Amino acid sequence: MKKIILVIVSSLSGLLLILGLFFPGTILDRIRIYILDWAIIVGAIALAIAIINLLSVHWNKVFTNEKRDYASPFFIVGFVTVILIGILLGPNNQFFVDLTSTTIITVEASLLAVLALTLSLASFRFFTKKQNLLAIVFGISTIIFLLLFSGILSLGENIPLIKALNNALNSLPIAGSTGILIGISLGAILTSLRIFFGFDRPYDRK
Amino acid sequence: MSSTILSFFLIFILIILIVGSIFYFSSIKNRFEIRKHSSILNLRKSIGLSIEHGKGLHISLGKSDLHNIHGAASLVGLETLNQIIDQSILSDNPPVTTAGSGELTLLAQTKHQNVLIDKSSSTSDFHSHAYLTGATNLSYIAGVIPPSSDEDLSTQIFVGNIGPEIGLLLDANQKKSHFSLPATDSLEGQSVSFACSDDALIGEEIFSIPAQMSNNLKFKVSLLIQDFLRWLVIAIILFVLFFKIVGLL
Repeated sequence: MKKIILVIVSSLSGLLLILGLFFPGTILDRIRIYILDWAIIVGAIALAIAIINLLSVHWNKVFTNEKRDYASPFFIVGFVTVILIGILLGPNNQFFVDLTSTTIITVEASLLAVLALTLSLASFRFFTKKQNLLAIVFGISTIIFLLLFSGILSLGENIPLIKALNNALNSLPIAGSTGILIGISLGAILTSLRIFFGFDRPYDRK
Repeated sequence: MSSTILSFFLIFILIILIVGSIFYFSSIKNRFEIRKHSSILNLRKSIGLSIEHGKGLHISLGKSDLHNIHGAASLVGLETLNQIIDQSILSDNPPVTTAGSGELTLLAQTKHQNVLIDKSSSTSDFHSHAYLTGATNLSYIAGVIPPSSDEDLSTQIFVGNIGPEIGLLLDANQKKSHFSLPATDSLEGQSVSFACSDDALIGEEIFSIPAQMSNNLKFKVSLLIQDFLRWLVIAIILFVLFFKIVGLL
């Protein structure tokens, strides 16, 4: 019985959202906006619960679990510090904003630097490891687009042949990514419809 | 949204419903066999070996909430988690799930809770089997690095919306010789996955994972409709191209 009610609620919400799109400016459209607002509120509550769960996971790793993680104490100290300062000084306080943004920007910049290095090494390893047709195509296109984005072909933009070549090459990644995105969109539509009709129930316990 | 787009959308949904009903209720579906992807076969092998050797599994579901445009990839991640949990129910080491979204974390915990109920386990520690690692792109990845570096792991699956940051995880996996299956709906993530892993799933292949992992009819029919629609889109593009060349459009 519970399962049927859940499916009805989920399908009805989906139906109201679609109908709201079809009839803009009507009560159905207003219901659609309300449902979306509720979804955002529920998402925010879920995030708060998940953050408390994350704290409990790290707490267990420090104090009870056999598998101790070196990052857990840092997480707990950081979390408690930020939340206390945030509550005491308020989220708009300049010191609080500086503290959080400086920490986030520093850590994210370091990770991006590591990522850049990792990707460079991965691309070298890729060409030594994979020696098939796809790898050759991947390699050639990488070189072509590196040259293209360096602006080397824009020097001869007045020559019609180079201009046409430049345009043709520039449209290749757009065509390729559009093809992939069409495939992804079809998959996404069908996944959504499976949930809409109750074939898939990610919210179900069984 | 303009009425023309909405009309096209309605026609599209009607086509899906008609084709879906034909495939679902008739025996035409039996004429088509789903081609098994080598990466999925490797994944199934790796899960089997993990269970045999008592090694752990790590599944990461990406960072996208369910109510945005990448939500479908997250839902595929949840279904994949469901299938993997079913396959690894006999394992001593329950799979660890990480996510970059609150909603995904709670839904993943529900899946883990099911297993504990099925196993009649006395512990209720499903909270530590599925947890949020970070709420932003890079904090999510930074949080996934420690569980993915666990020495007791042998298989890692990244299914959902993960950007080029996936390179950090795949590189670490390669060094530890873990089996890793990256499947993301992000174009940048896919290109990095292709360069960093031998088993990357490209394009819409992410949506075929549930059908390849289980024999459930609903996934098979869904994949057949997806293929039908792809051919339909190709045919429409070719027709439009032809009419443009002829000068009718």
